[in-house]
Amino acid sequence: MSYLPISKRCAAFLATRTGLAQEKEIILTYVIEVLIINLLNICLALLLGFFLGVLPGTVACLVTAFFFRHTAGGAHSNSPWRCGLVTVTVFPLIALLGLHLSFLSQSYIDTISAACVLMGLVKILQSAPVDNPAAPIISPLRRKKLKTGSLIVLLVLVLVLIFLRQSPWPYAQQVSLCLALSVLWISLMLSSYGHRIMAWIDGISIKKERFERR
Amino acid sequence: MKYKLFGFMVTLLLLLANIASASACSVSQYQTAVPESLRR
Repeated sequence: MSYLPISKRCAAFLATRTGLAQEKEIILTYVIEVLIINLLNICLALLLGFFLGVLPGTVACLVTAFFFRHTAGGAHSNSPWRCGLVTVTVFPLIALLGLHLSFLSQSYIDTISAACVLMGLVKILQSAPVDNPAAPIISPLRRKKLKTGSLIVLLVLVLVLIFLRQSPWPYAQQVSLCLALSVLWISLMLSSYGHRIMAWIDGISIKKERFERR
Repeated sequence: MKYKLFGFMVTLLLLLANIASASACSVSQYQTAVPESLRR
């Protein structure tokens, strides 16, 4: 298993200090890497959202993605840095789109939200949970629980959308659009198109890599 | 005291590892390889 050098170093330090077994040290390396990558991505996405003036929308997108990715899974990049670029840019951009679409009339917003939720429902029923060779879902019972979990998350999201529709909060329309568009993004990541997009991103050659090959 | 603090940190991280491995995947677009002992 390949982990980032910083995760390995931190885990080795903690394992030496506490006299931990080799197996536990690998688990520590794994969790340190999960924390570093996710916290870094979330903080940078929030920072970009703040600079673009769409912080509430970015928060809404990240919360939606967190719950859906937890239960439904989805496509992944093979590189933590390329993944970071996608995560950091996609959610503030969805929030920006949500902001622009929030100036439409309520009937258009309702139509967009309904279409996104419907797409999410279809993709969840068809494909969720989508696992990854790096984190396979072995137990059929766990698979079933995750599918039920993703349907519950979608139901809660629909209730939040209904609540936001009647809310006098100035950001309500923007946030509800961000939630709906995030579901659309999650649906894309559950589909074969999402896997193709991530494979294409993995396939983009970077100058440094070309140098290394020479 | 220092040993206890490291012990607490390690326990907390191991608990977090169990929670993280229960997810289908992480919020970001990269999936860290789950150790064999946590796969289920």
